[in-house]
Amino acid sequence: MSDSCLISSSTPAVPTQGEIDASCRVPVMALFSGAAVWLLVSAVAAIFASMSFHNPAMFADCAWMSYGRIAPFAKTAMIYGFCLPAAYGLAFWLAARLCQTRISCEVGSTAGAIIWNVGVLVGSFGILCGGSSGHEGFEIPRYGALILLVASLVLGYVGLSTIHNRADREMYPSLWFIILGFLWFAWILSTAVVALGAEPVRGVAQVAVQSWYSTNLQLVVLGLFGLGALFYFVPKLAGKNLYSKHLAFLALLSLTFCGSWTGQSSSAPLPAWIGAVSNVAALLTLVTALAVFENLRTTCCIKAPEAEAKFFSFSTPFFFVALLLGALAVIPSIDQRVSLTLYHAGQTEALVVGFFGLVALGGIYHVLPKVADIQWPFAGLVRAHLWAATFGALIVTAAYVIGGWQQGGQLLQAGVKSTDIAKSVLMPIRMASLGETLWALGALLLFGNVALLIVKRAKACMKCCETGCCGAEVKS
Amino acid sequence: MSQPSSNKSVVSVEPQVGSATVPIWIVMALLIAVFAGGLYFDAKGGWFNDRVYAPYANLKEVQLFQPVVGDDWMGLGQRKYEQVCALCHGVDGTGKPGQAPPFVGSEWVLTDTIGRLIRIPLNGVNGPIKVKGQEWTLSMPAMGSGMTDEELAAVLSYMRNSWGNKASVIKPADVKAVRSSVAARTQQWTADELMKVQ
Amino acid sequence: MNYRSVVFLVGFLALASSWCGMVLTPQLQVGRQEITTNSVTSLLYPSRRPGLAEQGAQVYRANGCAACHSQQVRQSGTVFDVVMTEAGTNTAVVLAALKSVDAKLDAGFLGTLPKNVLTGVSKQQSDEATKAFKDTGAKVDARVRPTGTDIERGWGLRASVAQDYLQDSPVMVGSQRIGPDLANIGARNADLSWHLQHLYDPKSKIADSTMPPYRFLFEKRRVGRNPSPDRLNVTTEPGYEIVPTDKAVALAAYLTSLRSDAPLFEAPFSAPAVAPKSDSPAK
Repeated sequence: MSDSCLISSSTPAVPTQGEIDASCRVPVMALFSGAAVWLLVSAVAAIFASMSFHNPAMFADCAWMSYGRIAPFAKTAMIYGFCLPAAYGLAFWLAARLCQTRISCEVGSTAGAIIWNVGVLVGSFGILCGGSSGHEGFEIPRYGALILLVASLVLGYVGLSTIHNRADREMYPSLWFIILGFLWFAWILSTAVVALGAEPVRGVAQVAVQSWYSTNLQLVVLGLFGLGALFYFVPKLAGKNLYSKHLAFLALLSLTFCGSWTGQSSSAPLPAWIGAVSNVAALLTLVTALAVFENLRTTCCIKAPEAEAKFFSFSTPFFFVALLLGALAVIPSIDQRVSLTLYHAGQTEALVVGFFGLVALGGIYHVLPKVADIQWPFAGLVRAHLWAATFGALIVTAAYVIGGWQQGGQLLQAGVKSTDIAKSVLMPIRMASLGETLWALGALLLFGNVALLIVKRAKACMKCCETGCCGAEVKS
Repeated sequence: MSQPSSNKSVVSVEPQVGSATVPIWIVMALLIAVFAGGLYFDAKGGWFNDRVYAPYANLKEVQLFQPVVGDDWMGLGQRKYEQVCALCHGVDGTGKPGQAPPFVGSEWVLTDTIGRLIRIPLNGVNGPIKVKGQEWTLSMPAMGSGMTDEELAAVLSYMRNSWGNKASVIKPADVKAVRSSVAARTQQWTADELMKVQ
Repeated sequence: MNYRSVVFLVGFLALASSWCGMVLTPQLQVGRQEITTNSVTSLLYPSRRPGLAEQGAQVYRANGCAACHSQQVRQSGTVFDVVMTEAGTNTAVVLAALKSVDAKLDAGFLGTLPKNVLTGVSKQQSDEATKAFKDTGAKVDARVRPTGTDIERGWGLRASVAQDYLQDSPVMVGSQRIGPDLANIGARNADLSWHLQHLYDPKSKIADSTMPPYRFLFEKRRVGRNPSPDRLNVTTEPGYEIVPTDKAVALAAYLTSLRSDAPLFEAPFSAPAVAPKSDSPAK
């Protein structure tokens, strides 16, 4: 087993798709099942968090259920528990399929998945116990972040060495995105671990690093993995070729060069140029949206009958909306109005949940039956989840953006009391809890489907072990 | 690999990528965005200066709004008082309960033995002190030792002539004289020591 | 074109550029700032928080207060106010100067001073007005006044800048204003017992508050031989009293220590003639 963890120099015979999928089975199932659990946990936690806006005194006696702890817990569980493992799982499968090679190190990637989930578990429960780092978007305590860093290095190595072993030297565009995704995340996480955790930088330099980290995570890393998947699944399910590699490269270029400079608030107590440069970058990132739009429009449209195909169709508009919301907030009068409001939470929601969340769900629904070699136990629930998730993300995004707009208007009127501002955000947040409930229902459907699928898979494995075929599989 | 793979009977082909050129309108949009971004940065960016914060656009503007230091002597006293003394004794000279005694109507401020008053900021005071009939226990550092003779004289004169106080002006020469006579002293005064000053 | 060979290069350059721009440069510019003696107040700024307040910052962090409260004051502009502090003795000359600055002003203006001759004007207008009063014997002062709704609300005197946060780690500027800004809460309301009571039951202090009560920071215990001197003034079951835990006391100490109102070069303003007093402490 150990020699398979090394990058092999000789190119073996090209394996069949069945063999490739089988090689991904354990690591991808480990990543996806963990993701399904965390998705449900984060969705339920988000509902609990919004309860504080229905009845403030509800958790007055319970520290770990208080809003300031459970809200970051829900976000951490969503991004680190669901989004990133789903991204890694999808990337592994895409890399193996597109490179026509087996995953390079099955044991290493499974170990990576386990270490990762331990890190999320330790980190997110650390937040509930009051161990939050205090840095928005990187609340995960130092010890949890360190475990995640180790896991990301292991998983990144597996992904890159799989791609290195590819049969054909030429690379499909999705692979560019995935390669950079692996490298990018390890780099930004190590920066955050050092500059915010181990050797914290002084004063508001922390704010700059924290904003840089969270925008690079949410926009660039999730964007790279998400677009990589989109550029694979849309042509595949449309039964066409991707329209243009030049457009794909332009999207990659603008996302990495411009997207990575965004995210610094122009209201933050940092020198003016930081917010200004970041706003210019947000404007330029619109080019990413245009390039992706043009590439997918000409490749259009998905005709595959599978329910999961719609996830990809619905995720794309969320990506455009998120980038557009960012670019609109560059206009000085809008910037002034929406800074320090729910508007930016709405933008994050569109990006992380609406865009990446839907891509990841579509990917999981498409890939998991293939790697497990078993059909979904309740195939009909996929469509139900599609609608619940899409409307859930849509309602939350709209509620936050509209609510943030109102909240910002009130903040700009010195005569409005702060208690009235607080009251004005109650309605949007209550509306958002409706969306969160829909999203949680969807998460429950996925959880049920995945749990049953794993049980079926285990039963099938037991059965084949009795007949002795399992041993043959392990040996191969 | 003897797994039954009935659901994979149809081998789907992986997608390929075309090589159509980037449409010109996207290039135009990019150029427009670069141009608009450049204008925006020039207007708001402060040209990477680390001392320019919003709402200021450049260093010149920040310098423009620096408060002007006036040339009148009482004004100097007020400014220095508000900067140095007001944190504890209050901008209105009413002091802070338990921390700093008031100046309004204080016999220590309005005293004709100005040597006592001048000594307090030069070396500080330690221990119990009675102000307007009330006992205070405090430890005031030598807050005035860093000021010039003129500044300290201006501050004390301002204190003696504000908030309803009315007393003679203290001249820089007075401060200079006292300063040279206590130059060797490093520790704070006690109230008893001050009372011995004539 | 073959992009395969340039993907790594592009990725590396992009990441390195944004890392240098948004991590390294801010660190070089503001991360190496030191606590300095303020040129105006001649005191160290920012001053070290008392130990209890330092512990309170960790309570603030652990309970995620920054999820709803920002600690940053925004400023939309800066103007000058021309204030007359003394009329002098030569009333006729002063009146003529006054008329030249603003035709509507008359002798009644000189009644109670100090008073604003001009309010919210540009540097040029303020310079012209100050010049008009030169040699009249009247004393006028051009005061720099930051503007913006945050400042009108009493949330601060000026924009927050990097220097204000040198004592903080982690720095929790927040990104959300569901509750009021807390950058200067210590200057607005330094009453520890008010803060404790407000943390225990926000509605008891601000009737229409939507802040969750933080009862888990308090202890309900049987009244001993003597009631605790720290007990809150709230009604509870007879025979019991509500006493703040160390965490609540530390948090209140932290809140009262929050103030960022020293004049700085980056955020200039004239010290106010009278201490700003907000009508409601929770504003």
